[in-house]
Amino acid sequence: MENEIICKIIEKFHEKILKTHKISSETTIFEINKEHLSEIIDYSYNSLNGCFLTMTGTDYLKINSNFLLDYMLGWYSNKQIIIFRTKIHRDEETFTSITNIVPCADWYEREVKESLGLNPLGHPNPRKLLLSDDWPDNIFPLRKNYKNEIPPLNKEANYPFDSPENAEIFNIIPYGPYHFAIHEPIYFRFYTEGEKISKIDLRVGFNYRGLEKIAETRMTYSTIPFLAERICGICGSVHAEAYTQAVEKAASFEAPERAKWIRVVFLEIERIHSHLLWLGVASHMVGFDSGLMQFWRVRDRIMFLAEILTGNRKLYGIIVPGGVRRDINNRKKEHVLKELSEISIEYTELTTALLNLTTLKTRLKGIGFLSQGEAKKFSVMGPVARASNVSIDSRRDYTYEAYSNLEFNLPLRSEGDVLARTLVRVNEVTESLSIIKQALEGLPDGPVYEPIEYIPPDTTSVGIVEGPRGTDVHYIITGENTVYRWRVRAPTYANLPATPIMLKDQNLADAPVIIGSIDPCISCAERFIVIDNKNREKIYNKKILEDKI
Amino acid sequence: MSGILNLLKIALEKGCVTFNYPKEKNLTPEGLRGKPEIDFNTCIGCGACVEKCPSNALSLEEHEDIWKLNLFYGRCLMCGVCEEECPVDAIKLIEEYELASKTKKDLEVELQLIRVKCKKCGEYFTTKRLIENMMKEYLELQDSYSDDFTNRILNCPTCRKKEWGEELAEAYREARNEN
Repeated sequence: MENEIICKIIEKFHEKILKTHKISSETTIFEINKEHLSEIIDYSYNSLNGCFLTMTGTDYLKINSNFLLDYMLGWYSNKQIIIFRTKIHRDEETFTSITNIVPCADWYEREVKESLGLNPLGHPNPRKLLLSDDWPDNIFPLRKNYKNEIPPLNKEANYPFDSPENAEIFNIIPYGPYHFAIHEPIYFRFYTEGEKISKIDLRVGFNYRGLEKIAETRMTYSTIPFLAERICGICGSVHAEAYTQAVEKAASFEAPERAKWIRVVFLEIERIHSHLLWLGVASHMVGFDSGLMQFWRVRDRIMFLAEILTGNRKLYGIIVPGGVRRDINNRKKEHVLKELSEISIEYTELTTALLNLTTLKTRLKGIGFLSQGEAKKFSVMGPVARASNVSIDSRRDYTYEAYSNLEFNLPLRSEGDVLARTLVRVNEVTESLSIIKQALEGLPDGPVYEPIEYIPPDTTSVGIVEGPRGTDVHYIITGENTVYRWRVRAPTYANLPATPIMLKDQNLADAPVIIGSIDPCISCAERFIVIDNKNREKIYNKKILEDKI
Repeated sequence: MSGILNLLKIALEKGCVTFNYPKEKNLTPEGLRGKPEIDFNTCIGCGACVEKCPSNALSLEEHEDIWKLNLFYGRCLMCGVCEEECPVDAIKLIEEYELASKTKKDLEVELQLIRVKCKKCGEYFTTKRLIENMMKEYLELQDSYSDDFTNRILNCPTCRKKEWGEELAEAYREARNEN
């Protein structure tokens, strides 16, 4: 039976949809003309309550002299993903922006503009997103004819920050570009009235590493998982898993049953260690360092488990297309099960003690509010969405690996504040501990790896994994021996644009923990900004700093 | 208030859990993926590890009469793909992880492999050890070397291709003459 969502869209727009093809059990591609794009997406996103997963631009010039734009929308409750594909002729280089209809498409369209040179017409905020300020304007790194021989221009950095109409009544507080607690580069500019934050501007992209380009040009199918793991230091194997899933779907390959169960063990170990790390850092951000010490003490036991099972504390390097690289033997299994039961007792004891502390609770309660409507509007993911009563989880909805055989609950809260996000994560750890126990006890026999024979070129495929921070989407178009296009949409990319809403009208002192509450995961810095007391800003770039030294 | 007391109880019970590193070393678990080490006596220089290394920590440098296999720990991910790929088990991940060093030189390992000359054209091609390994493996499958094997083992791939091409052409000509 056809899916309800697909039926509704086809019924309404049957003349405007040129072609449909199903690429996997839950994913369908609709080919449409670019004139009808905004109309169809408006209906699918706003009337049918879709969730914006990702948008990708691809240079397909060599193959059909077009650029491809793929808008991916998901309906978790209907277990459906639709890719709206539109072609843009090489001479046009423009498309109509949908940011006014779908606010979360903002970053994606700016990224397409920078990396491929396709101009989103009518975009409300066409500033730079990822590339550095001195990147030449007419050079687009993700085009296939890009040659890596253009030196940076070394021009003065000049980023146009948003400034409110009556700017002189506000104080400007720069926050970043280095977050003091999560140790990652992000720059917020707060316009404050006293202690209250009135307007927020946000800048990211301080260290855009171009991993997708490296993979497309220098690596092969079997080595990319190791690069994918290094996208993030905390949730590495989530990326490896999402990439692997996409490749396996493109090759119509099923991983061996035992490998599927082992993958679940590693993904859940990663979720536990990530959440415990966050709980520790969040305690630190509200000035409660005992919490940091105690959560990290428990976390280290999980890290030792990972070390025993994979050989590494972090960056496991285990999940590859075809299966997993290490088996779990009985001795290790017994050891892990024993440790897990001890950890779960210790964890329950610790969380009951800590979460009954009124000091901690009052610090987290009622700040950084995100309503259910706004969570849906910005398509936020993971614990942030679940704390605003949006019941989405790709483990349950787009079930993958062995998750369909395992039982787990989805912690949901309706308060939408920082405390709710904390409690969702606290409960998720308990669920994950039980998932690992079930997965280890039910581990089927058999091989853990089978080589993939053939990966057909020019196949579009999607990998969806629920990471600790939310849904991680990897989109690939296969090529010869390696990926033709690889697009990574990490969950923070979806969550971060919603932080200005959470920060609006909050106290400045709460800003660190509100930003921290989405568990952001960014990367490393290259310059800093100093603002003197007369609101005149002076920007030190790398060259000036070097001259000074 | 009771919350704080509970926390204090936990903190006192657990006490200090860190190690006095480096005086006191934490035991590394079995199967830790540490530094990869090449056994110089067994490596045959086939280049399988170089092909699969995700971060290009391993590289093969071609010189007139030797091949240099370089391993640079500065780029190494400790993923262990090389260990899995090696056909003669010459590369192993050992449990050593303290690799910090003041000079870059300390992180480089170089292995030189002698190349052999082609019997026909006289050009250097593969390594001596690879040929020896091939001869050993052949004997495991067959009782003795066939004439074809002994004639061709020391020919470089280009000469071998040429020879086969000529033989094929010869066979084709014969077949046409018979018709």
